[in-house]
Amino acid sequence: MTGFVNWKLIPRTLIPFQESYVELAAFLAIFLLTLLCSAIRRHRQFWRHVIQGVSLLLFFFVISSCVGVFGLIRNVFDGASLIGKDDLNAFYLLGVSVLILSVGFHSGAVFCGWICPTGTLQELVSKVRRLFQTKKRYILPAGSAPLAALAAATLLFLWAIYDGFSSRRPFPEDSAVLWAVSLIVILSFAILFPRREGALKTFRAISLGLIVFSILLGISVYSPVHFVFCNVHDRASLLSTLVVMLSSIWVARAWCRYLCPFGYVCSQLNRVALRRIIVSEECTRCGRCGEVCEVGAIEKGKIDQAACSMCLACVDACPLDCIRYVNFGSFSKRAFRPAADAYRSSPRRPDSRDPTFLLLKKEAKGMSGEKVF
Amino acid sequence: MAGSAGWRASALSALSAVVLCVACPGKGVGDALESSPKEWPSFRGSPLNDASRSFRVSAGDEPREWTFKPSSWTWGYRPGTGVWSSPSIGKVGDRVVLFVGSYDKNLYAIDPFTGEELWRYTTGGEVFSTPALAEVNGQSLLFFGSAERILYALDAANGNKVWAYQIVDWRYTVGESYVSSPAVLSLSGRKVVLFCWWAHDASFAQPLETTEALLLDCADGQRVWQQPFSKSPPSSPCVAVIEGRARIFVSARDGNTYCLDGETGQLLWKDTSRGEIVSSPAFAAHVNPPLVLVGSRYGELRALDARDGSQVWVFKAGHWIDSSPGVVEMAGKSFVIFGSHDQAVYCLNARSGGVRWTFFTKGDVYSSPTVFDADHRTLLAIASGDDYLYLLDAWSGRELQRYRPGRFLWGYRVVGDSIWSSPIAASLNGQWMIFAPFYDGRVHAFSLAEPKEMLKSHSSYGEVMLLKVALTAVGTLLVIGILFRFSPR
Repeated sequence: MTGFVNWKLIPRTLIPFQESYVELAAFLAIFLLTLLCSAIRRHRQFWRHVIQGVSLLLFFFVISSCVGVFGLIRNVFDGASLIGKDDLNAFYLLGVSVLILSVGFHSGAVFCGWICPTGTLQELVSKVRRLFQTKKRYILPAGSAPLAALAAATLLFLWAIYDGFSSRRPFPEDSAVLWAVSLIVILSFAILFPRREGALKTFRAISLGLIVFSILLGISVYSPVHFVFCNVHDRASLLSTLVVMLSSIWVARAWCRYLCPFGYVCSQLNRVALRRIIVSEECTRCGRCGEVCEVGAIEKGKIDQAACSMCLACVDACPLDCIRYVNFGSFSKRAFRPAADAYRSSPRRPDSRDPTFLLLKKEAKGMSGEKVF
Repeated sequence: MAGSAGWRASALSALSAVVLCVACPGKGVGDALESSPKEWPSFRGSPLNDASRSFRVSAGDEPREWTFKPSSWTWGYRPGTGVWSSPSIGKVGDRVVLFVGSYDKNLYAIDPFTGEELWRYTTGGEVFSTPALAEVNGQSLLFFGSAERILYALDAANGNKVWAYQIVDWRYTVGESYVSSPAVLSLSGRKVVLFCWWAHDASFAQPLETTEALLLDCADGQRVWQQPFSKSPPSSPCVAVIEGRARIFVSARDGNTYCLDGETGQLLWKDTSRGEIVSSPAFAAHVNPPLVLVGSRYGELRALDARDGSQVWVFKAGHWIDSSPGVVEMAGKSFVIFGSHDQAVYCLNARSGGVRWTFFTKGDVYSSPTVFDADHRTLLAIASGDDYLYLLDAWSGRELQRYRPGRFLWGYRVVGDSIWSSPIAASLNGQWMIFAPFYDGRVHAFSLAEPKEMLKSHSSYGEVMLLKVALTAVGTLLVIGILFRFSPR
């Protein structure tokens, strides 16, 4: 437990005592910044990286309480059970999770793509790996070199467990290592069977189910990225955080793709969010969007909303501007039905780049069963 | 080890005796708070909350080991509540009686020699405040609070009510209150009892959320003063005399530690911790400056200067500290002993905060330690979430015995969702006994004379972890197999 430096900057923070709640204030600020920057179309990816950097610093130096991916889910349960009994703590536990989910209802999984430091670290590792490659792929092919490297890393990991844990007694955070083990197994299958990658993404739902189940049973299950997210310094958390980061060498954002339960919750909001990514039918299936997507959520103009992390890289990369990030919710179906009828009867084709007409087209053609998006 | 420790102990005590006589600011602190075998004035035997009171009586027969189970009714339990209050023991008339409050709304008086129930007093709410025993005008009185918002004073001999004090008037919407363990002290020649309580009412019409300290006259239950200081559940108070004045130290879940003046209830200082505080503060008198020790759910044990609340040192454990620290004098030095949810029991030097020893259990150490001198050795008993009660040597941290009272009564427990009771130790007729109300729904009495479970050598944790890793890998492979089989290609 000892031996690690406490790098948190603010000694008394993040608690609703003395009428201050720095943690929630910091989250609110970073979300506002995210919503602002996601609306800027010029150099949007640059601004995204800036926000990622800022939030990484924020998580490292300011945030102390458990806002890890599991902690966020656990805190919702704990906080909800305290409403009416201990409102102060209920607010403290629910605050951050409710904020992230509320923003999720507005603009989908922006937390994953823009803020989450686990995602940022993985993205960084994956980017560094691609610097050394001529063919910049997100999933390494099943060649002998990548597999040998994975096997060596796995052996190193097992040795680290045996060596590092033999000389000490158990800690509650040790369960974090088991998630890292699962990730390694899934990783090897993702490399060996790249076509079945979609099936492996089901693990995120299973992961969420396990967390909820464990919370209901009262079992201590800890997030493998504990070490980064909150002020926990122990070997198991360090080891599992390293595994999550380094797994991005083989598959970019592997933790986000296959195991992150909170990412699963956030990406489900993509389907109902106010702001969504849509693809017009003018898409030529050039495949440029798939080349820039870190989580493999889009391929030749077809978006898997449940996997999307809302980084908007595809929107910025589309050469024909066919993929757009629009305010979906402001168009209610009923209000636009007359307009949709007008579109259907109109002999002229409207400007396909106008998101309003994209929606109208959906409204009109969706009725006849034709697939638009 | 014991031999060398004894030599070192005597050498060090001889050395430090001189120093202590001159430098100890807490000298004479206990005078106003000293208790006789007929009294158990506070949560941990002394208003200092230092948990190091050695209770000895030489009356009665030879004690035997026993288990007390009040009833088979366990349905009143809801997850998150406690099971028992911590016990208290004292001499009532010629008889030694053990008192313990329970989740089944009763307060039990038990014969510590045989485990027979002597009497019970039924209240309208769960009794989680440790009963305090005091002799007032020649009569043994028992003070405790119930979650039904009533504070009681009972005749300890037969359980008859002497007086009761209602802290909040009943109304339909008022919730259960949280009453801390009382502390009995002498103020200006009269005996008073201190309660800290939290009451709440979530209704829109009459919202209420207040935490107050309340001082009542022991004899008639008249209010001496009442002082609101917070809005979240308080810990049990710790009382000490500093610079001739009684000071009350109490923490609350809001993360603050408050120092109130004993005479007036006025707030003297307040200290904010980084996390919420569930454990009770303890007072270390024999260090300079005198320290108040507070464990928090930030995993920190902080030593505060009792005079002004400034931080003297801080120790970071691996997880929450819900266990109230105990303070013990060994070889002329003060040591702080406490457990943490990181599964360890720590012993720190009270002066510097340096670690003397660490003992690892296999479960969350939620209970507060009790420290006692037996057979010229300082021993310590502490319960852990691995369902064991450990008996350790306080000097070396070596495990001497372990007891297995029983498993958790209800299917599961959530880390830190409750405050479970802590054991106490007493010497009955020369034989040391440990009384442990446990979360298996029973009160257990263990004798130190009987060797319990032989200690097995632990298998390497690295191997256990590798086994878990293998099982996880197999589980993941199985799920992948199922997913590949049933998902479309």
